[in-house]
Amino acid sequence: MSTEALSTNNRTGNRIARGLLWFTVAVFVLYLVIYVVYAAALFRFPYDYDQGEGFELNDSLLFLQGQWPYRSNEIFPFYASNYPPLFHWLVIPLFAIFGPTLTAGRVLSFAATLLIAALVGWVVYAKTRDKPIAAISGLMVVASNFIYHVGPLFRQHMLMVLFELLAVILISRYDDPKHGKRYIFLSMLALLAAGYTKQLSVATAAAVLFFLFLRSPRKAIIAGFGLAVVAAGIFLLIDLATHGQWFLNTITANANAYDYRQALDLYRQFFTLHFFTAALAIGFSFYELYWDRLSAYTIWFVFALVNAALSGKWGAGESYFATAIVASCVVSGFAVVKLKHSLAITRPRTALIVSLAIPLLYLLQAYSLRHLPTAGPVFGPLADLIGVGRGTSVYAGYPYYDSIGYTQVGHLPTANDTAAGDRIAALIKASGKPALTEEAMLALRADQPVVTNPTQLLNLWNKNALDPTELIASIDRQDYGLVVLRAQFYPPPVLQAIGARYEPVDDVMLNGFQYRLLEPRQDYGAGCDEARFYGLISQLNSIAPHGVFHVLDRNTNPIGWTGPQGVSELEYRAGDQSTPYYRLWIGPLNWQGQPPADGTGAARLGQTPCFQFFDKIEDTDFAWPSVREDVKKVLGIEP
Amino acid sequence: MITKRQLGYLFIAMGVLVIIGALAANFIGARDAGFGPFQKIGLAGGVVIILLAVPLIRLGNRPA
Repeated sequence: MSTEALSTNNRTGNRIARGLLWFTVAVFVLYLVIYVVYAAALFRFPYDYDQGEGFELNDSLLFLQGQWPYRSNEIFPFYASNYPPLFHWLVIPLFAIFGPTLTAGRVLSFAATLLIAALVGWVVYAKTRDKPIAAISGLMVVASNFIYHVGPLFRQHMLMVLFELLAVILISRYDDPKHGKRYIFLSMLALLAAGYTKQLSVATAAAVLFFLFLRSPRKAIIAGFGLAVVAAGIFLLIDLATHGQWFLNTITANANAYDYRQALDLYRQFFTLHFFTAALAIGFSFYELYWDRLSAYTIWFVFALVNAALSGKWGAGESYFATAIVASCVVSGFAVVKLKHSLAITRPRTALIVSLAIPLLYLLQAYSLRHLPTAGPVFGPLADLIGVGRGTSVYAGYPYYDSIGYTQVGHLPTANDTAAGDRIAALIKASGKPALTEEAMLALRADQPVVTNPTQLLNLWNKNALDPTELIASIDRQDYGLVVLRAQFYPPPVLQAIGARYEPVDDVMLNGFQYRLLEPRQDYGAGCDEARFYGLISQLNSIAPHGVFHVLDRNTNPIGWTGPQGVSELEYRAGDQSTPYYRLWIGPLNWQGQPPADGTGAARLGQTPCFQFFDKIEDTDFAWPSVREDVKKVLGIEP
Repeated sequence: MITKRQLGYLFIAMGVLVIIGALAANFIGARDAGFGPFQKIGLAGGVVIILLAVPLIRLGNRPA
């Protein structure tokens, strides 16, 4: 073939490749449209779409009232937040536009996602000057199933990723001859903001500092020290202001059980969905490691990919991959252009094949990411066109398809869902009492306080860091007009108490979930159960002059007594003293044991219609000389 | 500025630490748990990090 013919072929091939690339851009624009439609549907839906959104709104409302959401879970309303405050603060100004509703936070998160996409496109364009690749890289962010799902939720995740991305963009300019120091400072500020948006960003902080360390160890040590001092200072200040509740609720409560299989499943899903961009990003990381200098973006990608392993924690999920996805969008954009340019110089023919293959592989990834509503005048035919099928559903009752398969997020909530939520809220309102609900919005929409954050209680319970006495005692007293259960995430004794004092009266389907409504039981017999047991402890605490009664053991017998176990032991302490002042044992009426022969050990106090009691005064000098008589009186103990 | 060789040494140190951590887990908190999946992952991860380091050391004083 002549040189001229070859050149003509190349020109035609390049034109086709360019056309294909722009077609690919158009396909990804369609994903942006789907994302906007989804977000718009969520903006109109006033109830929890994803479990816990309402609690985040409650955090913003508490801040607005000048209160910390890091508070004791052991006193009414038994509520605390497990997230840092920045996202909740930034939502507050939006209340002026959207009112104190979920929409405010959803709009903020949605806007953050769009800004991330725009920044990714801009970063790729600034380095490569390749418009279609930059556009695809940016649009890929919102096309990712994982980010589509969480983007428009009242969640702090995408705002964290935005701050992370800003930190990386800024640190990549650390060597700017005029403003290098300013960029480093601003990068540290962005990391601080990311950390106080969500704790997960610690990996990005490590990545940014590692990059700076590779380029300028001295600057990295100074910047890292400064960041650590400021971050730790703020941490200690909040902890002091909240009397230790900040540490308990944001650190202790977040160190949950880990299931590596869950993490592996999510990694598999991540690589299957984003196979092209992930492969490009990993390949480019190796290229930079051995043949070039490691860039801030590559280091960020690697750290984020490793950090995604935390998705195996109980309560974690696909959103833990958001940082890795955004980083991979940037790095894969760099990789594609680098590959094209390198081949154009060394192997022009291969370059043409690769230029044609790139949009096709992007399109293949677009196909693997398929997610869309499957009904309506636009999406119905579109679902048919791409082979998904009109009306197909991965989430029963909602025409929504997702290549992930079953997923609880991504579908469009309906007017029926809003009506169902309104119905429950109206029942709460009509009861005239606070409600115990697993979703905060049902209480907030009924103008009632948010009582309990179930997962927070469960996490602390699992770490022996929660005393549920007062909560269960309030259930025993039937303080709540309605109990609304969805996932039954409460700690086991709380669920047990709910079952003992409340009975199911209705089930309401809302957003694909069954909400079980329970009202106070009229007849629960003598009530000699767990609820009453904790109710008794609450009564004891109400008369205790200094400290509180704690459950020490649920299966023992009184000191000195022989016989079967099955008695609960309580101790009363005040302050940090090493030994208790007073011990009390509560056993079932049918417990039979032999008292100590020598008269030492616990003494039998008597019984109530439900339990029998034993006690021992350990310190006769302590400041509650009438303890035995007071206990007998308040609990109604008869000989 | 850190060189490729220094980065290689850093990788080796990290890999060794990961392996020691994986092996030492039984002596710290998981005494009776046997050699579990986390330890296997840790061991494999440590070895991979060390293997990644070898070519880096050969790259000498090029900037990392």
